[in-house]
Amino acid sequence: MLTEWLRVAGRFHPLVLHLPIGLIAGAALLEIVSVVRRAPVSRAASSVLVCFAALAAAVTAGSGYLLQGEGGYDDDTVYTHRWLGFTVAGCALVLASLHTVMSRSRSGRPAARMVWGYRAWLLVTLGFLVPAGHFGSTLTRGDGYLTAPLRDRTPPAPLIPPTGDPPAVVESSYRLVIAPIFESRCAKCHNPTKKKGKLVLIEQAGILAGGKSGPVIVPGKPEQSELVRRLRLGMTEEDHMPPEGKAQPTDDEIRALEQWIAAGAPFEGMVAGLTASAAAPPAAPLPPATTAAAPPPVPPAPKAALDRLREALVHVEPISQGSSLLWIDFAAAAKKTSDADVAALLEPVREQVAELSLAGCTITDAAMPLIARMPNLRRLDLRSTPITDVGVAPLAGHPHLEELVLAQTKLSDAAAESLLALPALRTLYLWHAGLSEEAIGRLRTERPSLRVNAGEVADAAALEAEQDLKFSSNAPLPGAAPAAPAASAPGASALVPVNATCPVTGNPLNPKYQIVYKGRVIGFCCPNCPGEFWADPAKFEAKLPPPPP
Amino acid sequence: MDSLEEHYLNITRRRFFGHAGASIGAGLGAVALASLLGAGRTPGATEPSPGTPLPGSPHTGPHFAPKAKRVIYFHMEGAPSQLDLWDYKPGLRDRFNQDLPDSIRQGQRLTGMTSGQTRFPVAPSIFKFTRYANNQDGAWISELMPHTGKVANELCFVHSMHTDAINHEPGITFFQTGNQQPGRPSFGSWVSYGLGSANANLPAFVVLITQGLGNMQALSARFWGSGFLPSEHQGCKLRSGADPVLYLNDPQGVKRADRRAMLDLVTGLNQREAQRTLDPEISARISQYEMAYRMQMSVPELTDLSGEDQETLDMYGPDVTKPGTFAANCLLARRLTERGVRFIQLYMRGWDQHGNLPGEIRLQSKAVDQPQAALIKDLRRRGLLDDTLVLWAGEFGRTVYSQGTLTQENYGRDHHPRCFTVWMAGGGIKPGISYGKTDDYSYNIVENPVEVHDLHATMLHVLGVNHEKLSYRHQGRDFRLTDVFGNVLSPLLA
Repeated sequence: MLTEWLRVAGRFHPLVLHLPIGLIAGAALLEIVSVVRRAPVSRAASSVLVCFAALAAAVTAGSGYLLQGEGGYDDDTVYTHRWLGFTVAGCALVLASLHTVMSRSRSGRPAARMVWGYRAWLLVTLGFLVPAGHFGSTLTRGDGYLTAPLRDRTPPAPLIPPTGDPPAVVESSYRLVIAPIFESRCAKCHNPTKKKGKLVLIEQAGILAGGKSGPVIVPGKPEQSELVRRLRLGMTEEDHMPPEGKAQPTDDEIRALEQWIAAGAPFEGMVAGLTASAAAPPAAPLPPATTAAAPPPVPPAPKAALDRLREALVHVEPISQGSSLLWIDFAAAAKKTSDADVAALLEPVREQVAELSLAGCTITDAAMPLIARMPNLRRLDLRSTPITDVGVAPLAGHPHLEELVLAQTKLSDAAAESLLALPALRTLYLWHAGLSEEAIGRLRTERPSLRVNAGEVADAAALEAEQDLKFSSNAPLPGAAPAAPAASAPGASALVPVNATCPVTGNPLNPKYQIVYKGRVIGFCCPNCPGEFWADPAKFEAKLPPPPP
Repeated sequence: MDSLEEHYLNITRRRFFGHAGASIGAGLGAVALASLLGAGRTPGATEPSPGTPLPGSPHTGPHFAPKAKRVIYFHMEGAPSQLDLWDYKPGLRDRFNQDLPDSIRQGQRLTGMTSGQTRFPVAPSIFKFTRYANNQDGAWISELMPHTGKVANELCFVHSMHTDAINHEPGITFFQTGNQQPGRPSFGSWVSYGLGSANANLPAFVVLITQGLGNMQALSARFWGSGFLPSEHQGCKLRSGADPVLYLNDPQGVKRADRRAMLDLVTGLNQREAQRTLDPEISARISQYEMAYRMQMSVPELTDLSGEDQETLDMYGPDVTKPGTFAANCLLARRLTERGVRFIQLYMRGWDQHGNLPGEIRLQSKAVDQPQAALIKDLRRRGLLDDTLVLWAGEFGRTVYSQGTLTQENYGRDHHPRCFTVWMAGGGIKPGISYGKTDDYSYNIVENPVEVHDLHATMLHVLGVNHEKLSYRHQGRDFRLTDVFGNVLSPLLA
């Protein structure tokens, strides 16, 4: 309990340390004013200042001593700061004593020699105070904090590197994505100066070295990496990093770190998906065309339109929380949905529809031109609808449509033209869609990257199959590995052990556990003993009966 | 009103509004009240503002864009033997009848059914395995699952599942609710609560049960109960007989319009009571009456197989037309998937093979193999597998040593929670891979252990839900499906 309270006392250090600084500076200011204006100082005032300064300096030094016990700081800097701090406290005590002696002079006015002595000592105290404060701030803010604004004024690199010269630094995912995350979220505490938890999250060496509790990343295994575990812990957990109250990394940033570690935590080269623009969540599927230039934000759907959709039992759901893009599914309303309904319900939310399912709806081709005008449509499910080539034709040229389900529709080979004219299309379902094998083959050859599923799911090939099984008990037991080959060794004609008790434990023998050693059968009590025997046969040989001459 | 009643009402009221600002339930209180007051029938009663849920639904959508929109969960009740189906251990063939080494068993607890055995003789599987091509170096699958083998390139095997429970009731309860003790909401209830229904005419969480052919354990309705979540999120069990829902047809002389009028009147009375007491169970009752009315229309269409072509029926096997069989339930599951039901849980009973395992497992496997493979293929060609997550799991595994007498033809296996195999397929999960390894005896996990909570967290992740944020405050505590555990298994994500 006491230690906990002492720790609390230690944590007052950042508060009280400002008192001695201010008070000593105040005392110095009084003396300066007195010299400049050639007027005597009120010794009562300066007495208050220096006495309180001495008290505050002592308290500061004491609390600082307690705080350093918590660790997590650069040892060299702490050492310097500590001795400077104690020196300041000592100086302040001497200063207060000097002042007391000086102001007790009987003449009413202190002797000039005394006053100048006091002033000199005050200067000495100040001389220690300034570096003590500086090293203290280095501990919390990091080395070079004070002058950082001056040093960062390097001219920006030219956007286009001079022709002929290769760029000095080859860009890597680490430099582009990972290092900035460490820098903004971790390095305030985990820097070479502060070293919280003996961990430095700057530069390759520090990141790989790990901290007090061992390595923080296991390349290739984000799920085993302490770094990820701490980031993923709940906010209320003691071990959560960064600590509560500090700036927290976003989900995307954590995911980028995981991706980087999963790729083996390379410090050079690019990791797929980890580029400067891609702290983007891999879960958020963006149409490929929009990754280059961000699309203008889609306004939220009008509320009245959403209400009408729900009145008609149509399912409406944002594709993710806070997104104005919508997933719209007519499953519940399928049997009584006409083209007119579709037009009336979907026209007001045309811009917001990202995924649309009209599966099983009684719609016709007339509904399709509206759907083709949905700028953000990514997935369209027309399964089991009487859509024909005429209906598919307006979709041609749609820039973002990635997935199209046309299973059980009334298309013909003519639809292939329209389907090939969908630049973003990646997945296409054509089971029972009316397209001939030739047309489907043509789609596959002309667009090899397109996944076409026409229902003819190929079975996974049987690569090898076991023949008749035989069962035996011949496998050696784990831990008795050398026993089996020895059993058939020459000279082991009679499997009667030469010993009566186990050479390892002295227990009775179990006939199941025998070995051949130097041409003699030796029995043991349990499966573990043969292994121990083989590990050091000489040790146990003495316990065996002597070999026959 | 006496002061005690007032006190109780205040608690309920606080519970109601307390959700504003809490995780996915943000604004639930306000919306629940709005729907109580009839806002569902008169849209436009509340003004939209950023962050409030879409009107008419307590749901604000998934936390992030989901890969899967729904789940089909095959629960193999009784715990199928991983050694005879999925976890290939050819080395055991030469260890027939050897004692299980202490170095493997490590003195761990056994059930009372085998803890008295003097020997633990190793029983290698008598079934031949075949290696099927997948996206790694192939998957070894038992001859008991030939059809499933042929979809191996769609399956993601997890060989390193482990659980805390060693008996069926706590084991299933743990797998369904994330806790061994009864009382927490089922996985499907959490999904229903978190994401809502995508088809207003059908429940969000449907349960289909197939009676097993082997040794069956009790299957309590609380496995699909909603625990402390509002009751409308409990699983709706469709009966396995000819009528999946009772009293589908209106009695003679009662017109559907009359029914509607009666229901509206009852709803009005209930709403008055709901406003008087603010008891959430009354709003649950209102929505359940409404759902029952809608299911009268939607269920006959759901179970009418006349539109299915012969080729599809053949794919599921000869049992597909017998209601209640696994084949029939698989076909029903596909039809529910097509209609947007969020969580479809199929229970197959009868995997508890303590004795006579080879005989019983043959029958059980035959009943599930063809239909489950057919369902995967059928979903695939209809473009539904991309956004449907399939899970096949028992509540634990079975021991490598024989329970009872071991012969070359016969053996039994006891409960084994320390390792077992589950597989997933579909939306957001890497197809055609195996994850995790067990030792040579399939007794301990040697690589990438997976907890039940990890599996839950991963599945919720695929559904676009952050398992740490889907919570519900009950008796002063925020509850989650994954309790205080669970890590999303990123190596399994596509």
